[in-house]
Amino acid sequence: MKKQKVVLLGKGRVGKTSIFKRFLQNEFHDNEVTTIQPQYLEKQVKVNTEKVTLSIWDTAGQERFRGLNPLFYRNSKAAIMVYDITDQESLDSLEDWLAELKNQVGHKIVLMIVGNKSDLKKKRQVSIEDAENLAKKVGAQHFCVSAKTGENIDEMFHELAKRVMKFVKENKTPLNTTKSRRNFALVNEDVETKKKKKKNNDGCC
Amino acid sequence: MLITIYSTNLHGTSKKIDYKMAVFLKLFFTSLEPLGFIVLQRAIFTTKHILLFTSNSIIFEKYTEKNFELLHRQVDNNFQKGSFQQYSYSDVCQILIDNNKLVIKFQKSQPISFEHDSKLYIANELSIRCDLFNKRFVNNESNKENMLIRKAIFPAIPKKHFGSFFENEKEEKKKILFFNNKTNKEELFQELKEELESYQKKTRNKKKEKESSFENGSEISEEEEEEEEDEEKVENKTILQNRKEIKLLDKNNLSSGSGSESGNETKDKNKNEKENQNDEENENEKEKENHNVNKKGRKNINISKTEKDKFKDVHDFFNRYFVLLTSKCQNKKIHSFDEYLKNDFTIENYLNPFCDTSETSEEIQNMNLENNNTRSNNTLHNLSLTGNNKKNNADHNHKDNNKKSSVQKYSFDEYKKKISKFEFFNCSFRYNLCINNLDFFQIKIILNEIIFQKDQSIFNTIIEFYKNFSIEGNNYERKKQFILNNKKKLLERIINNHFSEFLILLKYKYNKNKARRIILKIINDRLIELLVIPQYTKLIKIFDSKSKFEKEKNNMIKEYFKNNITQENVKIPVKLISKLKYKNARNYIKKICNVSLPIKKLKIFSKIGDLITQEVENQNLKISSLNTDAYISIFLYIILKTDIPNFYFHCTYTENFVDSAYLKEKEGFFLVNILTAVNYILNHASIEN
Repeated sequence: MKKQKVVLLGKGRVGKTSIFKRFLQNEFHDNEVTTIQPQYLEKQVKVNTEKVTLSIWDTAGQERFRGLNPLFYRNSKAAIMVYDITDQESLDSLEDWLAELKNQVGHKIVLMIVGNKSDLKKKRQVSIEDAENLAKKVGAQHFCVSAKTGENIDEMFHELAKRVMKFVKENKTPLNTTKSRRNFALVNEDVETKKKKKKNNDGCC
Repeated sequence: MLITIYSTNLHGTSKKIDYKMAVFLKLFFTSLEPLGFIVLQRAIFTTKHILLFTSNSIIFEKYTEKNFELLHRQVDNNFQKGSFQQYSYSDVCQILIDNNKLVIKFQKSQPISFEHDSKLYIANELSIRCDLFNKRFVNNESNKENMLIRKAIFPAIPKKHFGSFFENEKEEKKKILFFNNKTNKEELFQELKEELESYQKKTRNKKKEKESSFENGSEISEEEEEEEEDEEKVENKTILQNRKEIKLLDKNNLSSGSGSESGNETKDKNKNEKENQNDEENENEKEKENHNVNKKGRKNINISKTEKDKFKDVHDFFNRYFVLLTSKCQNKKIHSFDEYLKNDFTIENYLNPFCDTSETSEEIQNMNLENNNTRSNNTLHNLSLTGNNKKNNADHNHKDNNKKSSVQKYSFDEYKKKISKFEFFNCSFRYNLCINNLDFFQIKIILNEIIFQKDQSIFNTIIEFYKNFSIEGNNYERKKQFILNNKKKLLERIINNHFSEFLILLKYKYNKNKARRIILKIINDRLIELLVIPQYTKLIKIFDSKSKFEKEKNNMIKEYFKNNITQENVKIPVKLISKLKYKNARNYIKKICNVSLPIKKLKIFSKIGDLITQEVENQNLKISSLNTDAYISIFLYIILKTDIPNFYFHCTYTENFVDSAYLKEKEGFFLVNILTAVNYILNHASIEN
């Protein structure tokens, strides 16, 4: 299998990089001391004797760079949308993130909604039902994860790999259909242009 | 009759050159490529089309005879619109002549046929030079290009001869019409002769009047006369003497048949009659010639005064001009064109216009006798004969038949060796230009005008043509041998290029999979070198031009940097920049300008990212992890600190033209970070503006 691009999305200070590191390096730092690596890494995941390499991109979450994030989304096959359990706004903002993503990539993408900091159950503000409702709405899968303890993180990525595999296999065969669609689109365009021309001609005459 | 010609330079830039029709027709017979500044190889002028053969392509344009004068406008418009019909030589399959029609066959598209009319351009050949010298080159001498062309095309003739030629435009038009309307060339030649004779009588009368006035005032020493008379008697004359004499003789009006040493033996009946009539006049002329030789300095001045009157007639001009050229080439005394045809004309002279000057007159005479024999060889002779002069040459055949018994036979092989080079040249001229009917004297003139120096580059190209093409009748095609040789070369090339791969095959005899992998890698690399990189270089050229349009954005980045670069504005984490200056990264980013391929540019971006991480690692800073947030801010700092010309262009270029597979990986990550940084700056700058 080829490399599959996965993007991490979410509001600032949600814990995207900590999830990223827990999965790739199995590390976590409360006060983040000298863990310097480029925020891009690859990892192979085994799914029923088949291997998938996930190239995971950590994106910028701060507002000043948010407008420029669409550059990161290109060619991505999956997106992990992270929210903080202790912050209601982070879940609300996910819809905006989704809209941005779909503008760039379209509807063909594997989505995961992940609630981070599940170890802080006492400070929880976001209910699981709300999150799951949103996931259903979007067509995504919901996971509750803690980067600190490493809870559910491997499972979540394993599930993501499975879904990506499926998604790729489904999209391999209908190559002809895309062509036909393109042709169809072209035909439609021609018809439209002809109509327009006719209209213009009528106007002139 | 103005026509515009479009020529392409060697560098591929097209250039519009306004010529007279004359020049246009002239180019038809010539290839100016070796001169270096024009690549228009040939131009064919048919009854309905103009065909321009440039070094790259064939261009043609329709016209009607009525609208011939407006042709230049049509061509102008079409060229500007880009609707000119153009075909590259690679598309052309074959060029041939069928029933007076020129046909060009293409590999993919249908063939195109043109009606071929040789009369038109041959008839107008005379009016060429007049137009050219009077209106273009003489008036606009300041133009360097024009001077260059003049020097290239007309080296043999001094400028002063053409200064006052065709003063009135009306006369010029009349003469052009005269030539155009004549269908039978025999009639035309007769009329030319009659006009010549009438003109000669007039000029002689004028001379007599002038000489009578001149002889009274001039005194010449007897000693000088004797010395020079002795010199004239000597058979082996030096080249310089010959030239001087020829010049002086030429400046006089050219008498028909008098003064030629070798020509007295063979003369037609018609000519004899004319000569009997003009015997007395010829004697007078001889005296005048001697007179001219004696008084070189003084008489030259007198002649120059009367030039204006002398060269008003086209035919006289042509005769004079021809004599000048032929005499220069062959170092002989030639008095008129008719005389030359009858007496001095040989196949070798015709085929070899640049014969050696070292030969003595005796040798030349012998050669002529020998060469006369070759005329009996009808096959060769017929090959060399061309349209207009068939009549004249038919007379020679009659004469030669009478002489056959007295002269030794000339072996064909020896003869062929001598003239092989020039034979090639002549034939190629005809076949290259797709013409059957070419006047031999036209070729001669053109040869002398354009390739007066022995320019071997032309010969080489023509010889190559003969090597590669086979000629059958009027058609020529690529030789089979040439194709076979090419195949051999291909095989050799493959063996040379893939030598390393064969070695690998031998090395890993028993591990074929490994060998296959290695070979595939090598081939891939080579393919990239062969196919991809040249295309990229083309793209780069395009994008370099495009970068000029994106100057505004580049300038915006610069201005923003100068005015607003503060840590607060960019919101760069203080720790990351206050202690580190990223010197390595800043130095390395400057290499982008030197690199042309998008892949290499992308690798530079990734290298910068690595350098940043290294520098931060070395300092052991206590910072939160290097996010994209941190990266973008550091990239911002680096971009703004280093003034890189056209940085925005470099980013967009790599983004658009790098393989999309790279964008998913680490290099792509850094590129996106840099792009976000650049866009961030642009957004801020535009808001402030």
